[in-house]
Amino acid sequence: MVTGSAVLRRDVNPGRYPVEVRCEGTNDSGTARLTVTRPRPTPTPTPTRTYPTRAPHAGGGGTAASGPADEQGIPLPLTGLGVAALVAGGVVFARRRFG
Amino acid sequence: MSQWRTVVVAGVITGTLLYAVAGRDRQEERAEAPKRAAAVTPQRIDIPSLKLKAPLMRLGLTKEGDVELPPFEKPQVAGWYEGSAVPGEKGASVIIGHVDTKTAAAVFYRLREVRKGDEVRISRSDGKVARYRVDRIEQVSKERFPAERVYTEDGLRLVTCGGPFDRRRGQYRDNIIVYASLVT
Repeated sequence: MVTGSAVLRRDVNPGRYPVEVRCEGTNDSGTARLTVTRPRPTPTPTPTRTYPTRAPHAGGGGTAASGPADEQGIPLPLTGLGVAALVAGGVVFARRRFG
Repeated sequence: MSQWRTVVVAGVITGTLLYAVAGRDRQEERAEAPKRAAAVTPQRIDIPSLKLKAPLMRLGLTKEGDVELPPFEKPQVAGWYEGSAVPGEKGASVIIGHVDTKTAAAVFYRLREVRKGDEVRISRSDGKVARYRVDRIEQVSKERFPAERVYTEDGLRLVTCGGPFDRRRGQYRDNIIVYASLVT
């Protein structure tokens, strides 16, 4: 009896493959047949370049109340006007009191 | 008096000679520059319409395969993803910056105000400046982040956060992405 082993390539095509065995030193030989039944697995496409797929979390939320989320903050010109009015009021008050 | 004149003349001659020698060195450096293209990095971003000027740092990948982010301790620094193209070269160049920290506005706070046609300049370590024009600005849910468009198509992409802030998850719901094309 002769035994042996063989390794098949992963991408071997389905089909019938003849196997011949010959013993060295003698003229003994034998044949067998190997049948590959499973279809060849479709090769998974290897991406040429990998890249991150998830979205970056580029913010801590500190300005969320008036920042990029919505526009509820007081617009800058109005803030400026408010400050100016306060200063003017202060000046008038100081003049009346100490002037 | 004539002694002083001699000293001044000698100084001028020495200076001229030094300048000529140094100038030749600089020219040699320029000639070698293409060989070292791989080592070139972007160093500053400038968006004149927003009066935004910021230094750039390199961003790698985390173990989970996400892009690193600039540290919150340096809120005014944006970052260039080193796996993307060097700005000015062919390919997608990706720059990410925080919109804010937990307490204050950060480098890309006003990015959403950028308009089509605005100029974006990227200064590189080799002295070149890559100039881009904004094509469009997109606000998109993080769940539908267009990774392929951002990371594979030609051009500069500036990415930050926007939309409503989800306090439970501690993050903004959307991304703001600015797409720009190379001019020079």
